Amino acid sequence: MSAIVFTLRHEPPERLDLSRLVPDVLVELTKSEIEKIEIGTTKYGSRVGDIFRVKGNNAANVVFEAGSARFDGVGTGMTSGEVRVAGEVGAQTGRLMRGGSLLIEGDAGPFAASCMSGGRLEVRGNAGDRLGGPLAGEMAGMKGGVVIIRGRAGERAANRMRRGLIAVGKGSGDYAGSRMIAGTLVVLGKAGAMPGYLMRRGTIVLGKTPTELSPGFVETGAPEIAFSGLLDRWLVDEGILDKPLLGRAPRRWGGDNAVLGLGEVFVKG
Amino acid sequence: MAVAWIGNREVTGEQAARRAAELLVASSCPVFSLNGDVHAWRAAIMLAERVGAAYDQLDGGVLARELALFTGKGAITVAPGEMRRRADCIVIVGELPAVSRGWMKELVASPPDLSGGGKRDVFRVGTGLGSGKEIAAGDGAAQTLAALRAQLSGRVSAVPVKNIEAFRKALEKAAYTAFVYSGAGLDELGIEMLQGVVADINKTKRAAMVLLPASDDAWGGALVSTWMTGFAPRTGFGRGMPEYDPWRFDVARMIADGEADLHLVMSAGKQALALPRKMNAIAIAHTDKPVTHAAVTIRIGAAGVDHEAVRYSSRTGTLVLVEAAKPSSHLSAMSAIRLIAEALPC
Repeated sequence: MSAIVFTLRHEPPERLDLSRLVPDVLVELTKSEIEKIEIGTTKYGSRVGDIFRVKGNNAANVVFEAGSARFDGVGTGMTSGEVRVAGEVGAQTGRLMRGGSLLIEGDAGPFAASCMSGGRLEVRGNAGDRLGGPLAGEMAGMKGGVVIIRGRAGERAANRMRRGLIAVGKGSGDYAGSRMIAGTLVVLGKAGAMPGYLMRRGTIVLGKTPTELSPGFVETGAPEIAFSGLLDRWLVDEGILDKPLLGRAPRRWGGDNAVLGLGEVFVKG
Repeated sequence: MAVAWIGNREVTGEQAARRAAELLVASSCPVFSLNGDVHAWRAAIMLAERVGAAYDQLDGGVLARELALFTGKGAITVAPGEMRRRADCIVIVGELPAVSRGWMKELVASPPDLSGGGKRDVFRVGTGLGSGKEIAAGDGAAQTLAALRAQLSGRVSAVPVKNIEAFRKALEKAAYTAFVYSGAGLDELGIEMLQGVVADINKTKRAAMVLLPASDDAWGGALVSTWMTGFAPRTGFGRGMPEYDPWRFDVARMIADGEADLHLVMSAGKQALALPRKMNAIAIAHTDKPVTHAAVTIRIGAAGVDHEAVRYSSRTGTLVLVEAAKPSSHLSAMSAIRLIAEALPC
């Protein structure tokens, strides 16, 4: 059996909702049924067969041979298997993902990993705003799993995150870790203004001292802790770091005291 | 006097509406930017549903910021009339819209007749109305609100809060505290922090937020959109049913990213419309000449001036009828939209 491969015929004329092109759905469909799936979001009314050539029959392994910023919802709700996109994707990549592995070889748009609860998402390029965050009306963002962004993340990465780990390789926009409930966010490179604003619990690890912290954060010294060593080792194993970042006694700020005040921001000591 | 144009050629309103309808039918992804009274919004949303369009407030960024608290968090709010009668402590947070400053000054100077012994304490975060004691910590309102909320909850902040003791005493004494704000003066997270301050105070006392929208017509449009579709603006009908997505249906983004192929702009205001050269556009505007780059322009009168209108009033927190100040024969925005709808094939 060979992977199911979607080959782009031409640049999509509209944003596409690819949320159904995941192993859990495709496993029950024939090739002709897959080609009839509606993926358009406007009056164009595109179907899979209009946009992609489809081949292969192993639904556990799905490949998009090219990407587009108009590919929305790639990997939505997947629970197992592998999905790989050889290019960029649009909004809500890996949304509600519960398991399996999703690899984006280019950039990802806003709301990547939105409300994800398990599995692994890796983006080799940059991610847009509100990485892992909830959509309007949802109470919490990412609830589990691992997200690795090799490039930069936009504003409000890990917004309202409840559980899991997000690692960003090359900096982030303003308000990283905003409204975090728990979980771990690592931002190497330069983070924007006021990381952790409205954060209740959780951990933010920064590669550089932030230019501006909210007044709700208070420096609490450089305690010796085991967590930083464990996190360093994991980041090195994942190839995100060449060498340990935090060491045994990183600088620590506690906050956001405007809310519960049980969160923490770590920077190399 | 000309009432409509196709390109730069003067035509009748019916001819312009027929051409607009043809463009809407041919379009695969039409988008609407709306600014108008309640009737205009209703007509425009009905048209959007028929032609599968997405719609947004004209320059809708501030409205989206104001709505985010309600779609993502929830809020403890009170009507301005209740604030006027009950609030014996008022805090003005951030900049207020110019249109609200006059009546807010009157309100702040007037006594509350239902509480507080007829006297109000007034505080401000930022310049506010220029009166009242300043609460400040750090460079901006978002920083000040974070430090204020921490200290009011008995936790420490990294910087002191100016006039915190005076504010604490005022809160203890107050029967009702109102925090007045606008999306034009606070960012999205600052607004949520303000809601948190209000929620914390409500554990022991009464307090609420009063939103003075940056644009009353925009807020009226949000109310209309919500009662008609269940969702606020930045809603689309591309798949036949209403879908709300503040990112996907941000009309300015859709145009910039090349997703839209037809732009309908409805504006009963006096501001000049700047339309992109490369896209087909329909302008329904308060203008006496064709709008530059518009394939079709239909002239309309100003709501509340040329014709009566129903508009949201932030002063009362309700919809109000506005009589025509100088009645004229100009079409209303609603009438222009209905002309287009009637020209659509059944």
